[in-house]
Amino acid sequence: MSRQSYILRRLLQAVVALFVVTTIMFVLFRIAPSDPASVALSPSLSPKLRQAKLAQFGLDKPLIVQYKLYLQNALALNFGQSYFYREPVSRILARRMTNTFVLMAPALLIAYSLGTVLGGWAAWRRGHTPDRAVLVAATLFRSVPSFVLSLVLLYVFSFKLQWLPNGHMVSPTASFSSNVQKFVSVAFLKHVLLPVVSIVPFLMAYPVLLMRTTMLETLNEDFITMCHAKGLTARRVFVDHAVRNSLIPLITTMPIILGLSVTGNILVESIYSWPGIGSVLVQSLLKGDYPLSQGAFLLIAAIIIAGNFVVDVVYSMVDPRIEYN
Amino acid sequence: MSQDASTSTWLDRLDVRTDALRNAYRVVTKTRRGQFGLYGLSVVLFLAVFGPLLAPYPPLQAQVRPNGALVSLAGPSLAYPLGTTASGYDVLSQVLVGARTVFVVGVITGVVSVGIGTTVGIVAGYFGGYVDDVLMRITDIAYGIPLLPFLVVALTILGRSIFAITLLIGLLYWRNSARVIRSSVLSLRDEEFIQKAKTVGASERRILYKQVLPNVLPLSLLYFAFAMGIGVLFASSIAFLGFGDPSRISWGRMIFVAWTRAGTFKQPLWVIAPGAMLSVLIASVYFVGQTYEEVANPELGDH
Repeated sequence: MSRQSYILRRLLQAVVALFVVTTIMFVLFRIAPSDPASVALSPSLSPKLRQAKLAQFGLDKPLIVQYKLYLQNALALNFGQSYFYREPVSRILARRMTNTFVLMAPALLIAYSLGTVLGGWAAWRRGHTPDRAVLVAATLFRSVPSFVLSLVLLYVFSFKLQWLPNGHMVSPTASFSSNVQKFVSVAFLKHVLLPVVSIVPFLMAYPVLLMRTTMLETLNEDFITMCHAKGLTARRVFVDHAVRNSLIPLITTMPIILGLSVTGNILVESIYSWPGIGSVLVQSLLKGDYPLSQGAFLLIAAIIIAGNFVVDVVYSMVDPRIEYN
Repeated sequence: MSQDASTSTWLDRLDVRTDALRNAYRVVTKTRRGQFGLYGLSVVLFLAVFGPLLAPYPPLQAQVRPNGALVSLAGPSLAYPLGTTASGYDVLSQVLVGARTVFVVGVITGVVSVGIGTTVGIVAGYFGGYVDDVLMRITDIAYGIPLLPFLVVALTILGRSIFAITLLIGLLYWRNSARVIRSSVLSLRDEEFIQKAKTVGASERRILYKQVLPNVLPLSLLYFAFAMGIGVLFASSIAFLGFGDPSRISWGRMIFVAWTRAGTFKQPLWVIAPGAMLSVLIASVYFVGQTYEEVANPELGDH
């Protein structure tokens, strides 16, 4: 199979996955014990007004027609009106997306770079104290739930020491002329510090362990022995040859880390009142604002599926040895 | 004579099984991490069985001072070693009683997800072809479902019972073990002993049960450990977000109540005690799994 047809097939799979997830959401929300109508509309409405409202949300049509409509709307990124905010779901999500991104991107970046370095270091000192320490630390990192770590950090740095704010993106009174200005302000950096520190350990564990394992495998390969035989210093063999060849498998873990990061974000955003996608999903579900929940979930699923696809494509480009089967 | 032979095969089989367990124990206790993991797991298992008996007070009984005042958000004392909650419940008793819920959730999600994963992996890997294609596409799609978001949505709609929570996590998490077990079966399929079994006319069923299954069981066991850790992590995250079963005391739910009742800062032990127990349980599971994996794959380095 050529690379083009491999990529095409992965794209097709991504589209099918998205379609299946979208359909599951439709089914789930239709079997809800509290159907959308009864949540959104007060029972005191007159039957006539109720009928009009149902028609407005498209809930008076047969299921199959609703499903067709729903798919069409999803394609057009139209997820309807939020019951609670009385605003189009897509507009709310677009705003929230930026906020999630400014939290997620630095966390992922730090987790990956720090994780790679630590994993490499552990492999360099394999069998010695640093290796064991890194291994134990990485396991502890993914064992302490990020909501527990968040609460401990909040207690120490916000409540006891009062160094850092306990939530939100900036203080409520602050105003900024543009998003860029907001995201580079000191106030924002202070607000983003604790949330980032709360997820990074959880995200970091996987790259650390994988980098270490891959390095150990690479170090056993013949070309490394060859490099030693050539008379290269141990350090050069390690950095120029072993590390470089170990970086490729790290790419394949990105979907996993992306998935973990979604999980971590939901928890951390909820704790720090961060106005992102994760916290809006939780809040809308608790309030029964189902169009918003549905939109938020589909957006998250789309990010994950698109992430899987992009990683497959990138991987097929950087590693020519891949077999397309 | 013939009776002798049958007893000895029966005993042999039993021996093989206890040997496998003894072997696993020997392997896991080889590193200090593995030992720690086993101790941690044993402690939680002990609490899961005897915790409710050891609890000094009923977990949902408001503690009252002799003068009638509620013992709310009290710090640690002799009477309440881990202090009390906002409603005056004893934190230690809740931690002890909550162990059972957490442990059972972990075990059931592990069994469900690895059960499905092993079955899918074996069937896909062994039969190959069309069956494999279909099963692996389903696995791919399962990978596209973000776990925690899906769980909170589904639980909101299907109701927040502990059964729904455990079952849903198990039904979503099988994908990881399925892939790994499939590739292990793929390489097994061409091994000589399976080819020989085929040649002498063993049925598919017999080959699957007697040749393939025993050879992937160690891998299933490993993924059971990881799935159990993930199960505990996700179930407690769900509880913390407020989507947990309100009728059960669990460590995740304790932290949820502490957080919503603003007890995190006034009585930190209310959060730290269940949080530490969760961390110990999950870390123990990972340590055991890791050690097992390392010793089983010694080519991964000298440690």
